[in-house]
Order: sequence, then C-alpha cells, then structure tokens
Amino acid sequence: MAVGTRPRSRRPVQTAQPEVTYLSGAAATSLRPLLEAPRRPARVLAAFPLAVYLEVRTETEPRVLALVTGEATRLPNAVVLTGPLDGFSPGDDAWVGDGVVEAGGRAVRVRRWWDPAPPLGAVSGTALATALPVLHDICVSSPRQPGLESGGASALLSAGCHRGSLVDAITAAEQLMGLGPGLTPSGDDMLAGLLVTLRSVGTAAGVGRAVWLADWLAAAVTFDARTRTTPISATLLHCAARGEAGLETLAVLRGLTGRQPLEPAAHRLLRLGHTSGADLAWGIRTGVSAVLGLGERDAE
Amino acid sequence: MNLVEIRPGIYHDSVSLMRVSQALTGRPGVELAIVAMATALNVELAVDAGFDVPAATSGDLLVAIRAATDADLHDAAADLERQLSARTETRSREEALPRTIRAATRLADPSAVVLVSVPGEHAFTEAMEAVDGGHSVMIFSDNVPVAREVALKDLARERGVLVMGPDCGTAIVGGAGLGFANVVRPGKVGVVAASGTGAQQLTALLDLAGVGVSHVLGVGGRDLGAEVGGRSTLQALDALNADPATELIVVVSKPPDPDVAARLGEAIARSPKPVITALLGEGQADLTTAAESVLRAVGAEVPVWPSWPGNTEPGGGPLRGLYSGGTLCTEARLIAGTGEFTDFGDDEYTVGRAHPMIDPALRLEALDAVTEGVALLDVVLGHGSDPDPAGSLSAAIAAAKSRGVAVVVALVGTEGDPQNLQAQAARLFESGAEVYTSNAQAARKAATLAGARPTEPGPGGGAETSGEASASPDGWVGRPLAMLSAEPSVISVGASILAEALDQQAVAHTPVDWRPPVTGVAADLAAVMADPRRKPANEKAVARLLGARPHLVGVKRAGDVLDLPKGTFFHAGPPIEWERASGPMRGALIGGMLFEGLAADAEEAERKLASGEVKLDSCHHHRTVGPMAGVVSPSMWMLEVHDAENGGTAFCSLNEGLGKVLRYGAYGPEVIERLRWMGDVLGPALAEVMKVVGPLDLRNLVAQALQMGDELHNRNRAATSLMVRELAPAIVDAVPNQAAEVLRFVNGNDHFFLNAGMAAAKVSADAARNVEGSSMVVAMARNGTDFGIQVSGLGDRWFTGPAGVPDGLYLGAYSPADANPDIGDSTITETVGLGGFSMAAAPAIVRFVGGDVADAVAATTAMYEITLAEHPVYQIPGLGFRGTPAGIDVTLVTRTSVLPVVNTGIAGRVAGTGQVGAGLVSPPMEAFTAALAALAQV
Repeated sequence: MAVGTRPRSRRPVQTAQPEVTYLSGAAATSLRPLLEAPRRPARVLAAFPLAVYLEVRTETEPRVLALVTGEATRLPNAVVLTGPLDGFSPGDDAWVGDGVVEAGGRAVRVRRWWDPAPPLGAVSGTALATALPVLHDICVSSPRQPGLESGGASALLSAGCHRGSLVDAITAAEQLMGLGPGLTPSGDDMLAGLLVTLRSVGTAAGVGRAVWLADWLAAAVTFDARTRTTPISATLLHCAARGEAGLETLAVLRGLTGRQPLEPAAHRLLRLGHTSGADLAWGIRTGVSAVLGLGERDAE
Repeated sequence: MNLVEIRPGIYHDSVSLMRVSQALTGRPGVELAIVAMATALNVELAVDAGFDVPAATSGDLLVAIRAATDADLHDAAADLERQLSARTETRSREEALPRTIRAATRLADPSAVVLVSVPGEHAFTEAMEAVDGGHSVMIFSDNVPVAREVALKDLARERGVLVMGPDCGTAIVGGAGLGFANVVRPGKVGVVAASGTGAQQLTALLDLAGVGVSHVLGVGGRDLGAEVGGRSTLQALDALNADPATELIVVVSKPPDPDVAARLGEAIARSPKPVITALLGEGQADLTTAAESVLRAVGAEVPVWPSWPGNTEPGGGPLRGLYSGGTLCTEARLIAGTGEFTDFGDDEYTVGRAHPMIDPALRLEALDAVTEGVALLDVVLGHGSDPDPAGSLSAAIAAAKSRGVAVVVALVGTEGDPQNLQAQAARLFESGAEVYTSNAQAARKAATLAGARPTEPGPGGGAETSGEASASPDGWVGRPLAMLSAEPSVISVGASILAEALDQQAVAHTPVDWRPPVTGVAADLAAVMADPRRKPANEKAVARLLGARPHLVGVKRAGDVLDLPKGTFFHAGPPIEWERASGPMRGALIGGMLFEGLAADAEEAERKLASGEVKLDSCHHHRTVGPMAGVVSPSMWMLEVHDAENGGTAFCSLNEGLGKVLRYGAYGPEVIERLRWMGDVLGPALAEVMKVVGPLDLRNLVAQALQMGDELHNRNRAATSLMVRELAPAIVDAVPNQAAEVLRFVNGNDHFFLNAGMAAAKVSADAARNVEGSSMVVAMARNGTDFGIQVSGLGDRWFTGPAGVPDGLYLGAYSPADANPDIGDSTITETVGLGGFSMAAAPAIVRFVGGDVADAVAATTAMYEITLAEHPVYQIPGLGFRGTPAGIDVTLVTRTSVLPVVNTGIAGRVAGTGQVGAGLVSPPMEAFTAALAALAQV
C-alpha cells in the first residue's frame, strides 16, 4: 500500500462550520451501492498524505472506502482524486451516500466509474504457462519480497490449491489471515491476490475447479475476516472474494493473459507499499500455478 | 468608451477566450467585449461592431472592450488580466510542459490516447505525429481534408491504432469520457459511433436502464462515406470483438454509402459477437428503438423512459426544432414529419464561435423569436457541456410559454452526469417545458402538440451475428487496441476545457503546451508531414550524424588540400559579397589579402576586394568551417579531421588565440606576423606531431569534456586541456626544439580545441547530407550579415535571414552598440547537439552569457522539442546522462516556434575590435520557413 509515512496527529475539534469544497474523482463500481444509498454516517479511520480511509456505518460490504490521490494504489474500494488530501484526521466525522462522500470539508462526487473485476477474456494453458515464469523471475530478482517467510502456512496454502484440497487450503488461509506486518497484513494481501487470480484467471482459462476453489476459499475468508484483521484489510478481503482487485493487480493479470505488457505491470505492482505489492504478486503466482495444475488434472 | 489592443504572440484556445469574453460582457457597465485570436473573421467582427482595429496577424490576441464609463473600462481591463493569467496558471509550472506530442509521449503511457482539438488546419499535423508514434488519436477538430483523413487512417491501421475523427466530439475509452460524453456505468455494450450525439442518446438510455457501456469509439462523421470507406468503423469493430469486456456491439450512424454498407454488412456477418446497427434514416429504427433492441438482446428489462410530461392540449401551429446535436435534429425531423428544424451545431453557425452545447446564445435568440406553435429543443448533459443548461434556458422557456408556445425538451443525460439530471429536468419542467429523456418520444409529443401525425417507431434492429463463427480456442478474434485494455490515459493538445473534464474524472493526463505554428506554414507543414519519405529519411540522416567517429589525423596547408587557388578566399557563413559584408568580415578579408601578399596595404586590399577581383566562397562548400569571420587562404594551415565511420573529411583553421586576431577582423602587423608564424612554425610542427601520435579520437574527447563542464562552442577549457594532455608527449618527441613555444601558444588559448571540435562536427553533419526527403538541418552558419541553414534533403541550397545580435553580457566598457551581428561557422557545433544545445552540461557559462543555472538547463530541455534524437555518446550528467539533443528538424522548429539556441561570442562591429561579449542568439525563423516551403515542393 503506497500510503506515505506516519498518520497525522489529532486536530482540536472545530466549532465553526467550514466551507465545503466540491471535488470530483473516479471510483470503482463496487462503491456504487454505497454512494447511491441514502446518506450514512462514517468516520475517518486513518489519514495519510496519499490515502484517507473512511469506515461507513453499514452492515454490507464494502464498509471501508479509500480516498486516494497521486501515485497511491487504485484499490478496489477507492475513489481517485487529483488534488492533495490534507486536512483529514483519524476520528473525524464523515458522511457517505446520496452520491457524495463528505469528509474533511470536502464533498466528493464521482465522474467516472471503473470495473474492479473486469473479464480477462479467454487465455490458453500454454500462454499462461509461458507467462508465469516471466513473472516469477521478475519477482524473485526484485528487492521487494513478501512480508512473511516462505514455508509454513503459505506453503500449505500453495500446495493445497495445487491439489484442489479444500481442507488444506482453508486451514492455511485461516492461519494467514491477519498475519504479518503492514496496514494490510501480508497474509491478507497474499490471500487477496490468490482469491482474485483463482477466480478471474480460472474463468479465463476455463478451469472450473479453480473457480470452485475460489468460491470456497472466499466463503471461508469472508466469514470471519472482520474479527481476524484490520477493518481496512477485511474490506479488501471481501472485495477479493468477489474477484475485485486494485488496478495494479489487474494490470498484471492482463499482462499474464497477453492483453498488455507484463513486465512494466509487474514492476509497478512490486513497488506498492512496503511488502503489499510483493505479497499480492505471491498470491497471483500461486493462483496461476494452481490454475495450471488444476487444469491439467481436469484434463486427465 | 472603447479599448482596443493587439497583443502579439499570445495564444489561448478559442473556448477559453469565449468564456473570458462572456465573463467581461457580463460585467456592469460593459456593453460588449471581444477577446479572441485576431483571425480575419474575428477582426471583421470587431470592426463591424464599431471598433478601430489596427493591423494584426492570427497569432496575436485581439482585445476590444466597450464600456459606459472610463471607470468601467478600467475595471474590465483589470478583470481581463486576472482572467487571462488564471488561464495560463492552471497547473503549477515547476517544469515546462512538453510543446509537442512527441515530447509528451516520452512522459505518458504507451497506451495513452491523444486528444487533438487544435484549429482544423493544424489538426492533421498533430494527429499524424500521434499515429506515427503508435498512439490512437481522437480528433475533435474538423476542417481536415478528406484525403488527409484517408492517409491518416491507412497509417493508423498499419500501426495498430485507431483514428477517432476528424470531427469526433464523443468517445468513452475504459470509462473515461473524452470530449462531450456522459457519465455511464461500465458494462458489456460496445458502441461504434459516426455520430456523437447519437452515441450520447443511446448510451444515456442504456445507462438509465441499468445496462453499462464498455467503450464508445467515435469514427468521425465522414468515415462511412464513399471516400473513407468505413476504415475506422471496421477497425473499431475488430477492436471491440477483441475486447473481453464487450459482449455486444452497436453501430450508430446516419445511412452509409451503399458500397460501404455492403462491406460493413460483411464484417458484421463475420463478427463473433452480436452486432446491432442503428443506421438512422427513412424507415430505419430511431435511437430509442435501437436502445430497446440492445436491452432485449442482453436480456435486460425495457423500462419506461423517464419523462416529465405536461398536460398541454394540442394547440396546433408550426413546429420549430432548435437543436444542438446534429443526429438528434435529424431524428426529430424524420419522426415529426413536419416543421422547421435548425441544427445550431452545423458549421455555418459555429464558425468563429463555440458549439451550442457550450454557448447557448444563438438558440436563445431563436427561441425568443418563436411566437406560436411548438418549440422542440434538445438539452445534452455530460462532460464538456454547459454546467447548467436549464438555468440558461429557463427564462427563455418561461417567456415562450407566456407567449402561448408549447415547449418540449429532449433531455439527454444520465443520473451520473455532473449537471444532475433530476435537478435539470425539474428546473426545465418548472419553467413550463415537457421533458423527455428519449429524443424520439419528445419529437412525437411535439408533433402531436402541433397537430401533426408523427411517424411510428420503425422496426427494431435485430441483433445481426454470424452465428457459427466463434473465437478460436487459443486467444481471441479481432485486432486488439492497446488503449482499450489499459487504464485510460490521455495526452491532450488544444482546448483546455476538454482537459478540465479529464481532471474531473481523475484520468492520467499529460497536457501539451501547444502553440500554433508560425503563420503561413500550415499548408507546407501538412505537405511535408504527409511525405512518406520523411520519417525513414530522417532516421537515416540522424543515424549517420550520430554514428560519425571523427578523428584528428593531420595538419595540412590549405592550398595543398583545398580547392583554393591564389586570389580566392573562403569565409564563414552562407555566400556573401563585399558590399554586404560587415566590419569583422571585411577586416579579416583585408588581413587575408595582406597575409597572402596580394596587396601592399589595407587601402589596396580594400580596393581590390571591392572591385570583385577576388573570388569569395563559403567554407561550407569546401568541406571546411572557420570560426568568426572564418577567412581561409592558401597559406593557412588546417586541422584535418577524418570520419572513421562514414569516410568523410573536413577541415578547420588553427585557432589564433585571443585579443587582436584575424577572425575578429584585425589586420595589423602583429596579426599578420602571428599568421606567418602559425604557417611557418606551428602548422608544420603540429603536422609532425600528428604523424607521431596517430589519429586522435575527437568524439571521445568531446564526450569527456561534456562531462567536465564544457559545451564545446563557447566553453572549451576542459577539451583544450584534454587535447594538450594527449598531444604533449608527442609534441616533445616530434619537435623538441619548438615544444615549449608550441605548448605555450596552445596553453594561452582556452578555445584551442574549438576548431578541432568544429571540424569534427562538420564531418559528422556532412555525413548526413543529401538524404532525399529528410528535413534535418546539416549546417547552420553566419557571415556577420546573414544567418543561413542547409537541409539534408535540399542539397546545397542555403536558406537565410538576417543574423541577429546575440543577447548577453558585455566585457569591460562595451555595450550592445558595439556589437556586430552574429558571425561564424561555429554554429556547426549546435547543429550536432553541442554548444547551446548542451548548456545544461556547462552551467558555469551563465557567468559569461547571463541568466542563471536554471536557464542553462531550460535551454537544453527546450531543444529536445526540435531535435530528432538524443546522442548516444555525448551525454549530460546533470540530466541523468541523457544524450544531447541532436539533429534539428525543420518541421519541428516551424511547428513549435522553438528556435535553436546558440551560445556564442559577440564580435565588435568595428573591424579588429575583437570580442566584446558573449551571449545567446537564435537563427531567424524565416530561414526555417523558407526551407520548409522548399521541402514541400520537393
């Protein structure tokens, strides 16, 4: 997560009503229900120079909404702005709904929508098998590495997906949830990358078993994500469960299926956050590898 | 009270200026304000309005304000300044914006789409550059000749990119609205549109029904006509077939040419995805019916289209249609079957003013003129349109209602549009209009109110598809477009209002700081840009230039190696005769005569030179260059430089040193004395040295010197030091008795290397000569009166203009009054990417030429805009080892109005004064425009 350094400290409470500045931006369609619904109260969870997180008082996901700007990652629950994001503090009141996100003296309307779970189009096993090593090489030779040590839960998850073993995969997933450093713990990013890849690449390659696996893993993960990890990460896991990913992840997936150049996309992804990009990339590689493995098993 | 001003050289786009004019006219006390570019049409407008307009060209800004009192006029003028400076400061200018699409593509994504909205005569050139560079382009501008459109689209197909336009006002790429477009949800319907408002109506209805759009690809109004043959349409079909997000394709257009329709039909039959056509015309489905077919084809429910009907009784009377969208107007006219319809977006109404979707003035006037019957209008929302059209229209609608006119409005827009659909509909309804989101329904209602019988909805266009053809298992069918798969990003050239819409959508956006090319070159520019030989020719020429490997191989007597009989002198710059020669040139020629013993004294020399007994020719014609006056005579000794790569040879005189020297026009006894010593001692000594040391790699020395703070024209200290270091041992070995003399002479002159550098540059540039079709400059030179250039594709022809006086710092008590116009062949260094072009490598030079370090860097950065390549070997550490800008392209200079920057010494006007200062100068633009005109004829 490219979110900058330290969060701002608390500001004293303002008594006068400040003037509202109207801004506009682009948003993922996953946020459309939240924005079209009647106005609901929300609060600022965290504020960084390039991203501000709001938690909305609602029962349905996505519950956390990210306002991002500049080079920050285009999350699947993000509204992208062009101006600076200063003047927000954790704990500030906010409102989301009726077409507007109101926080920090700003009212944001959406002027462009994008689909965070776009279809990838058909891809053959051969094409995937050729692309995967390229991604693998870029990842292992990069200074950005996943936040967790290899082996343990991540190895179990990888093996479980390969074999199509639900038990192993779900056990490992539950161990990984909330595990590791970061605003979005490493384990969660790895899971997110894996969930999205199993679903979207599985569909593109016509490997039904991978999509089936994605459904079960998604159900397991979303069941208690709220209690096992940070609110921000929990929402992102819910997005991943639905196949919704950040634009950097999508770029790599499109690269793997031959729709755009893979290498620049891979490098861009790896640069995200401290380890987020590398964690997501781990999830993508594991997912593609599993799709190939399950696809072969299906063929036998 | 009137205020009329012409501001030369200021450019703003027409839409921004229109807003400024409107803002000023709206001020209290201001009767009329015209702020526009001084085109013939706008000047006429101002004159007709009673202003006294002085002479102006279309590159100047015309300001004409009429106010009731002086105070109002003064306030308005102040407001004007605020408005104009606000326009130019819309982004923080830490770094200069790119001036060309070429430069912008280096900063932007490879899949970026270029949005061109510059005046029509320049649009082709810009679009060509985009397509040539491998980018899809949307051409908002119209007035592009159809032959050019065809050429562009053919090239685009080769490059695998799409041309949307010309005259394309609407596109949606990956959800980003370009031009006039509505905010629609992403989805599975792809649209190919030869009609902008047609696409807007269709996609707005789909969005209202909850069905999303993947992309809207505009193809330009003429694409489905006979000449263009549907080129972009067919390509767009291929692209949408290859796009995973698109599941169904709609083609919207007015009826195509029959042959084209047949070709289109074949393509549709082959299409693996279902295609619905909405080819509006007699007996065809209208847009609403087409939208309903699409909904059925994707399995969505057909809703009742939102409307705000009134309960007016049909009152009969004429039907008056006042439209801003052409297709909507045509559709309404066909459906209503009666009445008088005007399309205010048509060319006759939009020459010199903005489109009615932005500027409602003409329509309001027309509405006010309707006194009975029914008025039917369209109001189109979305990006780029009026922020509050209902607000602009409400008073006029209410007034019309009170006159007994029934008003029906077709409101084209979505819930997501910035204008707020519901609020706009409510406002229009309150003013007394009946509002329909379907133009077809609005037209029917209007016709009914007018007592006529509208035509019934035509047959729904069914989904036409191949049926059997399906995607091949490995990959996809169709030809994919890069701009459709990646996150949308845009390079914009032209009207800033379109750029504002991109910022509102948080679309990655690289604006180009476009200025119109020099007046009068548009036609020549287009001709040269369209020449298919140009690009490969330039590539070849610049490759030769960059690949040259100059070596100093010897020192020879001029009379022995050059075609230089006694009584002939070579000189710097383009050819010149004695009559027109300036002080330093005359002085140097007199000195040359004395040195060669052709005259006993200065008067005799002058007499002979004036009488024409002496032959003069340009050094450049003889593989030679000379600094300042650059006079070469047979007894002078020349550095001989050989190009190991391309095999050429070039020569330059030996540098005399500083102070009173021949090249500055001094011809006193000490000058002649020194010349003799150089010919008798220095030259032969150096010749011996070169025999011992062998070929000296000059390219290597130049590259090193660049990284030590030299720029190799006006600052040569490091290069001279390096050269001495290379030669010193050989000097001691070869001429032990004269070693000290030679070394002292060389060391006393920081610019000794200049001459070797000039010869190296000359041999490199000469290698690039005579490539047919190339627009690259191979020589820049001045003779103290004229500044001339030569171009690779134009043989030995010179293109000249008056040489300017350099602007900089003066030594001692000298001032600009003492300066001679620019003189010397040393601009051969800029010709190959050194000198002024490399100033960023030599920031210390600003102590001599003025300015600060940032200016030095800015000078180099600007030169990248007008050059073809970056030198692979001459690199600038301060710019991250970026290669120096090399290979000046005449077309780029005339397009951007950026002239090459030359860093040079200033010679004294009076012969023999010597150097009076140092500064920067540029060649005259007329040299480049003349060269361009010549290229257009070749």
